[in-house]
Amino acid sequence: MAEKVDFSLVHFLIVDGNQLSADLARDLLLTMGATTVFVAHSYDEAIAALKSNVVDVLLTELHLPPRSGLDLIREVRSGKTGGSRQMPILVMSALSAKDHVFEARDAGVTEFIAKPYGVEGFYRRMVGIIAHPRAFVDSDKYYGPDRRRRQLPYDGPDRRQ
Amino acid sequence: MTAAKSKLLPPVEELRARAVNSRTGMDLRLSPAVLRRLEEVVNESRERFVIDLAARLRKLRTSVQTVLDGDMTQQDMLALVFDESLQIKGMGGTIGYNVLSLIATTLNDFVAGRTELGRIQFEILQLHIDAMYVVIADRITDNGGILEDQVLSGLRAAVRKFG
Repeated sequence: MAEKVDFSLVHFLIVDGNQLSADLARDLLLTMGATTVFVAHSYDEAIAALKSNVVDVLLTELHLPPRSGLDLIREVRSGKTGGSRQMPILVMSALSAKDHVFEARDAGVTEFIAKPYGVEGFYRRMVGIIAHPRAFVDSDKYYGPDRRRRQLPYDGPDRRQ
Repeated sequence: MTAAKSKLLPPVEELRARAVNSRTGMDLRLSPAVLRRLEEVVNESRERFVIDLAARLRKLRTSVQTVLDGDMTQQDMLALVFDESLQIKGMGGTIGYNVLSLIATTLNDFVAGRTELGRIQFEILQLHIDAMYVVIADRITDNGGILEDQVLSGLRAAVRKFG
């Protein structure tokens, strides 16, 4: 039997200062079958939502003035928000230059989708972060999904155990 | 100096175990029927997006005029243009206004990190705003046509030369 994702069993939090963008992401999730979608429009609202609700998947914009979505990602990965440190995090942002993508990756994001995005890319990433959880790396300088996308042979010093 | 030691933690399967099954929910691969429903959601939000985009463009034009009137600093205007062009970039292509997103991207790259503009740079900024106005007023969707392509190429060339 083919596998399915039951989005009604997943609690989402969308963080986006742009009301229409947040509404659209919420409506797409509801159409995919989600029933619990929290929405926050700022860093502070997001922290409050994370602390007072069970959230399984976080979708966040990087541009959250006066704070940054990177701060939010780091807060989740540090375990200070009360939820799972290994919560899947999808960044949805128009700040999509290479530097921003690398910064998000190094803050511990699970997936990145650049705005403007298409519904196919959105669906594929939502399915992927739930159906294909990634291994995590815990080190002094980084806590987040394993950033290696390709498995290359390495037998040098400090190889991860 | 030694590299930081790190541990590789296995994937947490709890969410997958809860949400993935073989009976209820959405197929892992997007089906044509679900794709149509998702596209309908986007279509339904299109008009609200267009109204919002038009309001953002008015805000940009007003800020330019306010600077010309001497009632706003260039630095404040550039911060506003950065924010608004980023939003326009993110919103335009989502509802099919790809060329709008492309112009907004050029504008956003142009103003990023700037705190002041010379006369020519100020005109380049205004040209971007005017071009986006035309896209919205004429409802130019997708990537536009030959003319839009030429306008975009011209804006990019101006940014390269005077940016």
